[in-house]
Amino acid sequence: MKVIAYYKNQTKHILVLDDLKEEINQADFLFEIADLHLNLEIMFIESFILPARIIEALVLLKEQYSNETLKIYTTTESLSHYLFDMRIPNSQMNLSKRNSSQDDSGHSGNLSEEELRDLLTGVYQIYGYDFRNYRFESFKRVLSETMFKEDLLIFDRFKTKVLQDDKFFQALFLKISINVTSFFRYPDLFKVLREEIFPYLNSFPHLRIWSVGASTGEEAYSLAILLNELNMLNKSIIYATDFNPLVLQKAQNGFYSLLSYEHAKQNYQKSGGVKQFEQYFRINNYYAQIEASIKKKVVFFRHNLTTDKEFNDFHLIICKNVLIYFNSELQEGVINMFRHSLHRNGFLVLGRSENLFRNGYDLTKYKEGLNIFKPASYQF
Amino acid sequence: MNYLNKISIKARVILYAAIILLSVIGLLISVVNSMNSMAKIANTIHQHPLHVSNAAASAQISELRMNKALNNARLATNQYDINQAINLYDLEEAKVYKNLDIVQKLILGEQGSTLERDTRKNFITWSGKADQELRLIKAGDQTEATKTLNQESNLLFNQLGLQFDALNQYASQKADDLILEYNNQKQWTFLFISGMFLAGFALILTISLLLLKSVMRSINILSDNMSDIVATGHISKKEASGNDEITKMHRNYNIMLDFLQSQLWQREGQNLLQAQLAGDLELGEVASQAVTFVASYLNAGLGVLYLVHKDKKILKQQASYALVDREELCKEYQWGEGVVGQVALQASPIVLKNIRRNERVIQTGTTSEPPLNTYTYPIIYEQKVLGVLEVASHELIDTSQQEFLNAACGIMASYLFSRNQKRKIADFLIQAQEANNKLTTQSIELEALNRELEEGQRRMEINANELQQYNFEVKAKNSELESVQRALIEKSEQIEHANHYKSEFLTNMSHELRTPLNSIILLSKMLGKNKQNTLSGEDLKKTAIIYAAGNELLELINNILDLSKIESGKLEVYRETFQTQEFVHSYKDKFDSLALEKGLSFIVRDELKITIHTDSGKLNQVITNLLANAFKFTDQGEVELRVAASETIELPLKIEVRDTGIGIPAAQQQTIFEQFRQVDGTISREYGGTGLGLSIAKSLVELLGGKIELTSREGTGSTFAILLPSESETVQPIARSKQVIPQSRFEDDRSNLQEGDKIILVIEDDPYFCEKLKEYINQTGFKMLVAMTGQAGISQAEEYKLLGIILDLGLPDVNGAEVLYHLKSNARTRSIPVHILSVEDAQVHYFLQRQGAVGFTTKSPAGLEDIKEVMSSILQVVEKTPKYLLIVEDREEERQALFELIDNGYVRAKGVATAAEAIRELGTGQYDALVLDLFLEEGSGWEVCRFVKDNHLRVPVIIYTAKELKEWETRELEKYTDSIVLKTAYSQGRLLEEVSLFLHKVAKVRTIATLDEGVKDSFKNKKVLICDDDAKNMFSLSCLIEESGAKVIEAYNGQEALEALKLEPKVDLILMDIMMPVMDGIEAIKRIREDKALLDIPIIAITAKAMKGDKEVFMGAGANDYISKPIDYDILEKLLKVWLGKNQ
Repeated sequence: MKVIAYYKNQTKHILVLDDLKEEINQADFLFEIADLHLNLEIMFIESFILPARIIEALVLLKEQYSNETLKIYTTTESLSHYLFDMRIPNSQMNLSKRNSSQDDSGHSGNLSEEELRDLLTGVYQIYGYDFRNYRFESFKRVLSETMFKEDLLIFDRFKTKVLQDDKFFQALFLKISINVTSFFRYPDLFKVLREEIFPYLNSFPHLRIWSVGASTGEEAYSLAILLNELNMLNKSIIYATDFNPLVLQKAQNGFYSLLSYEHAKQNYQKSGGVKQFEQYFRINNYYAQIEASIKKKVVFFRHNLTTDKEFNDFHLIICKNVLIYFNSELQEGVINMFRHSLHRNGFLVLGRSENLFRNGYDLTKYKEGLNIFKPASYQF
Repeated sequence: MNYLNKISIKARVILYAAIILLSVIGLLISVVNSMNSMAKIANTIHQHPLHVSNAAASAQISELRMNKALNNARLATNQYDINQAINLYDLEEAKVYKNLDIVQKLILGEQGSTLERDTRKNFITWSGKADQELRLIKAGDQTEATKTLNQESNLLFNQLGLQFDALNQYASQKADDLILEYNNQKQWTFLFISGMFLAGFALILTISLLLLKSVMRSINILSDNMSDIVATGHISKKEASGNDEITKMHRNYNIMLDFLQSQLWQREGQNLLQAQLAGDLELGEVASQAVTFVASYLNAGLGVLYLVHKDKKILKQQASYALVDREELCKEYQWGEGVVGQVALQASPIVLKNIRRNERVIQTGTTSEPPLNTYTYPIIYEQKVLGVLEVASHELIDTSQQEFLNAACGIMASYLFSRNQKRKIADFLIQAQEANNKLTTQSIELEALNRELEEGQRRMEINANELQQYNFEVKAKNSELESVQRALIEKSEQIEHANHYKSEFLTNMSHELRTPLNSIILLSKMLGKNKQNTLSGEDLKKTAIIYAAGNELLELINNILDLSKIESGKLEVYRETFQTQEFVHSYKDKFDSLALEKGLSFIVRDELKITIHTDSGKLNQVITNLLANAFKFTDQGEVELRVAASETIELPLKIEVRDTGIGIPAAQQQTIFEQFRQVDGTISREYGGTGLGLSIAKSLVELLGGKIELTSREGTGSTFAILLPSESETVQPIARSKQVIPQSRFEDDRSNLQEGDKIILVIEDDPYFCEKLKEYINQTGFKMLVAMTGQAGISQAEEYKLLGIILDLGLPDVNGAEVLYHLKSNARTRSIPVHILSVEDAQVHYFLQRQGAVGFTTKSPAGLEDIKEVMSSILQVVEKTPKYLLIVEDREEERQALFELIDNGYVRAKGVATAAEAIRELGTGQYDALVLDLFLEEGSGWEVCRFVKDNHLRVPVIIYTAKELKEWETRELEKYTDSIVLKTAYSQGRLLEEVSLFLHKVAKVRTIATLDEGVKDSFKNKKVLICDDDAKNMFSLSCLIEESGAKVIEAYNGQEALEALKLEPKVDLILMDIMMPVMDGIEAIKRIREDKALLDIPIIAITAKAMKGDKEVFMGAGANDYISKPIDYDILEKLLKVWLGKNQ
């Protein structure tokens, strides 16, 4: 990453070029913004996400400057939305020019299965992400939209763009793999966890919990909060994994918009929480940040369910709304992997619409209505 | 001095230069003069004394040579030599004269000349003599001439010598004198020059200073002026006096200052104006600030600002300065109206001077005087007139101020314009913001909705898939069902046929059977009468028995016939009307004697006394049967027959038979109505009867449209109530009694049970399944009992001594889970192991296991392959009973609690309180599992663990402890067992699970991969650091590597690894997991590679990640190789050989 600063018209301009290969060097950036100037303009080029310290610095700047004297620009939708969530106003600039319509063929922008397979194979070869066993429909809509918006209705052109322009791929990839999540989502599940499962697991001296498809981290942090209330947090560790590194960065930042904090509070109460929810966050006018003591117990790793295998032994594995994106072959492999990663007294929690409707798994249902499973046969 | 200032600097400098030049020249000349005189002297010296000295010396030499020649001549022997000598003499003589001439010429002073004359004289004399002598010699007259001349000439010669010396000396003296003079001259010259030099120097200095001072004066004035400005910051001028260039410059400088001042003033004014107008001001504020400032800055007395009013050609007064409102004054001007309007129209300023206006006055506190000059300027922005500014003042406004005014108008224009724009923008912004907010919220909502929709869609899809799946399964089931149905129909047809045949057969047979029977009865009766009295008592007894037996047989046959008639529906109901009173009292007669015989009281009571309409024959049969039973089973008390009203409306008539007999146990109350059943199989022996009566009674009553109810208490008595409908109802005879189909009797082993048999009770309503089970059970040497309802099952479990129970959850009368519950809550049946079959997905496994079942099987409807499994699991359980469990716990109450929790008949638990005892017990080798508290009063649980491990005992260990464990403690324990249960509020469930798991399943010891033979122990003296947060993995890896002989150091995250390396840096290999808390593998590898001491240690990364690009990350961080999880131990072995074997 490079930080370039120059002066023009009584304004200090700072450009942050993020080539996505190294980590953002915070020291350079923080140095550049250290002294006050009349006007300040900061542009983040090609960044999809920023680390926590930079966000904090931006907030501080917002306090010191007014809306006219501080301007922030981004080039990606993802970062623009993230900053808006943090109540940092910014403008998104479009660096590439919109091509005038070159295509009159009347292609509707829909992909056939063959084309999609072709594209996904290319993606796997070039970027290493294996989407070939995902459900076709998950992609269809997003890809069609993108093809339409970017005016790449001819499949070959679209494929070329995806395979050659890695920023474009990144942006697309983000759209596909965003997982809707919120704190204490499915309050009844958390109720069961609070009243039955965690008390049972309390008989273990140390707990390891795996939150699969952690996305922006709400689920993992919710578990940590719950464990904290049950006085079990200090003997637990939550491994939160996702294959999308950008969204993991957001999770690691631990910043959430004030709106989502409000929702979180409501869900928390629905799930049976009775404590002061504020104590788990540090809240200011811009965002709510997860408290350090909670954050400490959650570790984030990249892990790709299509290619990576088991890496530890867990007492609770939660994987909600991830399997619905996979075809049955991939689902089978993943569920077996979960089984191998599960302690014999452990629990596997899947999403509401995810059922093991094949009987070939070594798992049995724990409770009706919630898709919680336990190992059926007890291997040592 | 002053006049100097009048001269230009140039002139001064030229003057200065001239003076210097002259001085220098003067100096030079004097120097040259001195030099010349000195040279003269030197010359003189050179000329005179030196030459003289030389000449004198030469003359002397020549003279000596002459003498020598003379001597030669004197000594010469031949003429030739003489001539030679004479030649030489002459030569030298000439020389002497020459030299003497020189001397004469050059010698200075009288004395010198005299000396020379004398010398010459002498020389002449001598030479004359010498000549003479020579001539003589030449002539040959040597001797005489020689003598006299010789002497004289010698004298003269000597004298000459002296004279020559004197000459020499004289010359030298002269030379010395001259040199002295020269030195004096030199000295003087030096002094002279020095003096001249100093004088010149002083002169130059003075003149220079003068010059400098005069020049610097002007410069200083200027420079002071400048520094004043710098120091104070204000521009101040100083007058310049004089005519020189600097003064000129100064004057110019002053002019420039003036210019600058005015510029500065203007600029300042502009800046201030801008500062005033900057910021977020309203339009009105902008205007008044502008006017106020401009007017005051210009020291104008008055100022007014008019603004164009919104595209209409009107100028409205917006703000003013020191303006007093008068009514007649215009606040508005049309375009072109008045000076203001005109200015706006023509877009250029109008200046009116020396005007008197009566309308506007400059109002101060003390005077009111109309101004004299007005300056009306337009405010134009980008060629559009925005307004007009007018200032009025007494004094004329100079150019600079006018320029300022112009500029000010320009500034105001831009501010006003931007103010306008700002206002417009602000309005737009507010609108836009509102819209944006709405949009944002909407879009967020939309997005959320969208995602929900998407998810819903996906879920629906999955549900659709599921449905499809279920559909298939359902179809499959359906077709199965169909085939089963067909089979059933076939079967039922067969049954029909069978029934038909049966009834035909029975009818025929009954007749056939009755005939001989009748004979037997009749004849035996006749014999019994003993009319002949030929029979002995013994024989009579036998006869009686035959008679009784015959009757029994007849009854049986009748009953069977009845039953079959009822079953086949051939029984007909003959209804007639009769009185209850009469009817019931008839029984009194019939049974009184029996009652008397048994010592019982027999009461007959008719509370209704009505007329009923039904089949009296059948009713009679039923009542008779009931009464017979009542009397049969009652030994004391009473029997009552009562007719009363019942509580139910549909069956208002109740005929009751009550007794105080042995009663019927609740569990049996259902079954006694079944065919061939009696309360206890043993009853028939005591009380007689075939067991058909009650079932026939039931069928008959039902045929009449009623039902039989039983209330009974064991030991107290029983009451059979016949409930009948009233006569008006027409009752359909029930074609089939309900019991038949579900009660398809199943032949279990109950009839051939023997002492010591191992019995399995199967509670299952599917007879086909039971059949299969029975086959298998019998094959394995067990006996099987079947109960087809839950109730039956429960009662049989109590009744028989069972080894195990197979319970189906799907039972007709009650849920299997309830049966289990009953079984487990009843002390008699609690300890019997129960294995559960269920048709549904095994969703209640967990729950049931908590209840105490030992195993589960899903029973698939079609296939029965599970039978073997079921059996084997039960047998396993059953055969191995009892299990021995050792409980190591030092607290008495807890031990007791554990006992109660675990002990259930087939688990034998023994408790000890110390480690030593535990070890001793374990030594006996009889234990199947171990529950161990870590913290004991004597010894510690750790010792026990170690004992188990070291002795390779196949005893699974369950740690059950109250203490919270630290991480390292957990890790250590996990080497011995993976079953660690903390004593928490809900931990008992888990403990039970673990215990039953360990006791009932085959205890598999952890399978540890082993190395090839060739690798074992080949890495002695090597150290390997394993860093992994997965305890199981760590365990396997460290066992493996220890097998290879190397020493293992364990670390559970990157941080610990680094610390371990600090303590022991000489490690031969590092195995590093990637995904760990506190510090992950990549970070740790990087840090290790930063340390020079650790650079060479090979690192193998253990990773679950296999995505493209992942490998590069850890190889790039410094790993040498990698291995994927789950670990393939062959690959690991190879890697060990490569990386550890390197240095061997």
